[in-house]
Amino acid sequence: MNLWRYFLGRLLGSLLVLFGVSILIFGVARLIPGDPARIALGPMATAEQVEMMRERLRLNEPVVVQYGEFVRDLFRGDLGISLYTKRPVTSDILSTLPATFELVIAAALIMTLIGVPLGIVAARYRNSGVDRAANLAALLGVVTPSFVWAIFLMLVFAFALDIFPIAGRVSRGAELPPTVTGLLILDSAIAGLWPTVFDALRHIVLPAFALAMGGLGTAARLTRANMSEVYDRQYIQLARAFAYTEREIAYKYALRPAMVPTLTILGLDFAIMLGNAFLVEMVFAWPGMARYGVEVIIRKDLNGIVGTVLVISAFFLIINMIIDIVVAYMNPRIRYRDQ
Amino acid sequence: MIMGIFKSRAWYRYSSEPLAVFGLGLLFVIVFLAVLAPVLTPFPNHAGRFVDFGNTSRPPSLQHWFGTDLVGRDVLTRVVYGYRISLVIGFVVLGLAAPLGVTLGLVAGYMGGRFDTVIMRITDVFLAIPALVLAMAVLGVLERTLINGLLALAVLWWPWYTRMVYNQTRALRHEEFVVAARVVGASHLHILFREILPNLLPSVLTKFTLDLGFVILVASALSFLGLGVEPPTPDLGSMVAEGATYQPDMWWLPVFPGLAILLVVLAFNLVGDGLRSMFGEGR
Repeated sequence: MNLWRYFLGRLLGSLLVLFGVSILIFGVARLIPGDPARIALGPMATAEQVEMMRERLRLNEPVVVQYGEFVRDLFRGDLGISLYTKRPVTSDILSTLPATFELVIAAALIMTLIGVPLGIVAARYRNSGVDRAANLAALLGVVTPSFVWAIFLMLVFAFALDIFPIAGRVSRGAELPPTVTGLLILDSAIAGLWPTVFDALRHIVLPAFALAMGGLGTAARLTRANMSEVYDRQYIQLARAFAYTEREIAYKYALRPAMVPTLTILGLDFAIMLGNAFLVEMVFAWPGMARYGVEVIIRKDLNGIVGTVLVISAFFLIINMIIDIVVAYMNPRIRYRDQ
Repeated sequence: MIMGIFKSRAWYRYSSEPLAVFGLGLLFVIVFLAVLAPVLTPFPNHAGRFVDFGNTSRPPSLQHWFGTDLVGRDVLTRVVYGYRISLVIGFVVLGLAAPLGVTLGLVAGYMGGRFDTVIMRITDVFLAIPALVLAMAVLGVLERTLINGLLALAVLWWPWYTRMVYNQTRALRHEEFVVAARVVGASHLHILFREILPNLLPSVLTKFTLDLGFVILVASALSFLGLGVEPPTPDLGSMVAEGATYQPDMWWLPVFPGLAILLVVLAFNLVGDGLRSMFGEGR
């Protein structure tokens, strides 16, 4: 009951923020110096053509009216025409988003499945060699930009050791499945194309790790810090006094309260990954949103810029909302306090 | 006088962390190199528009420790010069963002009511856009100059300070010393900047130090994407991007600038962590 009210409140809050984001990014895009229509058409276009383009982009109307019509179109799933590809921004984004999504999910899985256990081990054996090694690894993960990770991993594992493919999402000539979810690995599995699944997995390893390294370090350090704090509490000592095994104490009693603050920060890491995906995709020629995003920005394609930022932000807000709800579920104090 | 620092209690606490001391040393080396780059680097003229086509793409050697680039410039020299621009970016961006963010956080947290709602909702909006994406968008629409790059980064950094200061101010505003100041008729300005702010300085300073590294990291990411300072200014991010095209044959082109970014971010991180435990916030 209370969880539902909390959920509705969070949903409303997220929608309000998204509304604010749309105003912000719409305003930023209107700051473009010069005439976007002229930039789109190039120096060879006649004044008449530019005028027609301005009309099509509704640039002759007041900004408030432009924004109103933008929102109306948005509800129909229409983000306007990209001045760079000359196609609808919505279809441009939809054709590249799944690849980015797949990469970010893979990275998030690596971050959680390796980072959290690493933190648990470090917390269980505080100040041991394992702890120090984990701490150092975590530190290196945080301070190295993901594009530098991408290049290092590529040099070592693709070029020098030749274990993983250098670039791309799948080998040329691989049998491609019909699109169901857009996630290549999942689609191939659904279609039963196991060689393609295996091939795509091999392709995703390096980019996913490059993207995950920063968050992995944070996840490990946070889990360690939060668990160490829990370990100092009296109920853990009580559990020890009652001869509970260390294993039981770690997973049953220390981990759950420690995960609450950790999860919240992991949500923020997800945001960083969405941005960093741009960098990693550029290095590994991953066919996601990065190339499109960078191109629309360099070509000052205002519809493209607004669409890209809006989609990424919406994505981020949804993830954070889910995390907040999971956290509220795990820690009842939050949902009662926030009413 | 200066040696007195090493006898102080603060230094005693700071130096109990070996990594923090290592970070401080590393930071000194980097700043020293960057400031004295024209004197210390082997080929200072390679920092600008220099070409030597008889000496292109040489692997690391005794003469060129980090090798030479595609037009024969010494990579070591350009990496050190890259630090200069990185450090300037870090300090200018935070010099703009931190005071703005701190002031807004103080006002929102202390005044409450409408100030709170308006400022914190705007902060939420900025925090809802992944930092790199927002910087890209702002940079994309503006002319590509160093000043605009700095502004774009400052625009995305202030909300973090606002949020942190806001939370701490909220916790402090009903403390007795604040109430006492109000009772004796102190102005809002006095309470905000003389009573509350000094209590927040340790955490602001810690965050500032950590962020210096992260601003440099994000700035290098932007120039990696081709949205940074224009050539021929040596910039670590663009050097990595340029070199990435030529790996693995010319591995030294992306690797050394990449390592250089890693080291400067690491240095600020270690010093920041050291400050945090010095101020007694760490665990």
